[in-house]
Amino acid sequence: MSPADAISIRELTKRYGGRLAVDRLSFEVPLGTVTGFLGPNGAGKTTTMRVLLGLASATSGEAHILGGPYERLDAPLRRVGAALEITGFHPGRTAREHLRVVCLQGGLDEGRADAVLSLTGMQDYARSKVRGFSFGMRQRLALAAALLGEPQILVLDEPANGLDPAGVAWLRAFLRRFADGGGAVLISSHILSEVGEVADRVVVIDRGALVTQGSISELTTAAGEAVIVRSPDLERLRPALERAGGSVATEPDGSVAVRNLAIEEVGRVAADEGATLHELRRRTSTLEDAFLALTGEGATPPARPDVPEASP
Amino acid sequence: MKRLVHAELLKVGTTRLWIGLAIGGAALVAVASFAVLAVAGSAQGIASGLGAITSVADVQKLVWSGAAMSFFAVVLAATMATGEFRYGTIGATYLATPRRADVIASKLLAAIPLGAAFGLVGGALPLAIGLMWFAVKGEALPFGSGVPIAVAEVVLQCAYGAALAVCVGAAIRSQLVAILGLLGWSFVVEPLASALVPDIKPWTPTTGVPGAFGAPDPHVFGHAAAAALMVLYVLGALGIAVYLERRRDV
Repeated sequence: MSPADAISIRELTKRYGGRLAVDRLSFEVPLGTVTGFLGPNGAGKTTTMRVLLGLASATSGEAHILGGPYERLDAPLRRVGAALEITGFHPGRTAREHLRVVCLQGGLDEGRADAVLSLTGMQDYARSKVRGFSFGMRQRLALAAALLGEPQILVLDEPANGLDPAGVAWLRAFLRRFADGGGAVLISSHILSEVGEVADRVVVIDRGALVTQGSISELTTAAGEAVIVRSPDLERLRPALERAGGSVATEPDGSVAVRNLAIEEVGRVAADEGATLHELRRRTSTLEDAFLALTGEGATPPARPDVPEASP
Repeated sequence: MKRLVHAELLKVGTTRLWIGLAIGGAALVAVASFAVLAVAGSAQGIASGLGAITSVADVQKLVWSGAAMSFFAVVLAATMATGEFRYGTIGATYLATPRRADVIASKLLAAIPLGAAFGLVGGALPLAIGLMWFAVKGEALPFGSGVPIAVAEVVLQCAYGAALAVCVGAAIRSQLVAILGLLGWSFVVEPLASALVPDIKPWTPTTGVPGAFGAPDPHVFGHAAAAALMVLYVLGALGIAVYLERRRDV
């Protein structure tokens, strides 16, 4: 773990009986960055976060925050703010009461409760009981609780779930400011576009194991850009493109994605073959493409034989 | 630890459960007190061992009927621990205080005064009702140093029940299982075991040892020895709860 690493996961393994939830996972979250933590449902993201926060024990390996286990942090709420899906609220308490309890437990000034309620736009609901809250309001309250101690590190599990567009935009801007101010954020999310817009780095896991980690540009580049070709002469064009060094894959809509060839080269091959083109465009890879490619999620469904090919 | 105990008391104070249990317990004790006063000295009362209230010892029996309040103190204390798991607030609690032994110890330290407060209601209410009952009849309720001692004994029993219950709740986590388990232990397991092996009866933690207080019959333990045993039982329950909780995932 380098001094600039806020979070360090080393060879972390978590097993529940015979089920392997996290498999020798290693990654770091540097200070001053937002790190997206991605993976399909059941990939082990929440379990990793729980172990990191001392809520679950590791079978083997290490999960350190600021150089040591969470349990050894002095005044942990002043160091780390966490909002996990598993943390709940007593339905009979008001938002302010919940935060006051957390303040007392964490040794924080109770005045912080009103400050974070305002920060998260919950000030009008301070005296409302949690039982009447929507999912989005509970998310805001969880975020408010995470911010109580003005922490240096945020660990957020699906924080954008249930937030309205304004809430998502606020969260994105807040996390960016937080990281730019020197803090570190580890954020898991299924809303890949949100992660793509705010994260500097991503860690992708699947079945508990690391698939890849790096900057978003590294990931999307690795996933590969492609040239999309739609043509009635694909039977002729496809072998010609492959002879020219291209890798050709059929897309679900009947077009083909050509990799390893520049768009100009694809156009020249088509011209040489006298192929008619209905579409020729460069497709840039998104974080979602990269995620799907890396995790095998959303693989192309098998062709339906009863659906006729589109005629030119 | 002081702020953790304060936090536990705030948790209880910001829900309505304690109010419901306090009112329910007080109502039960009041009904029981009126029933005792109504039948005491009557043919029916004498037949069931309730003679007329003419001495301090008789008033003590009336006050001891308030020990029924301990059931409500036990439910409240068990819920202080199990409610955190039921509603998922234990995650926030352990994030703020990762040392789980401190959390359970603070719950114990908060449960004791809460149990004692329930006990004070349980002990004082029959006395107040008795005073009014006798005043209405134009008589004076017999009073002596034994009466406040009886109230203190009810307070002690309720505080002890709450202390044990909060530890059992932390160890078991499930609200229903913890409460039913405590009731089953007190009303089935201990009486059955005591019937099978009478020698263990004075040693049993929920009926035997506390019986040194709030009962007219002489007990094998003196008050000091019984109190020491009660402390040991609570510390034992605390130790088990901490041992189990430190090894479990949330």
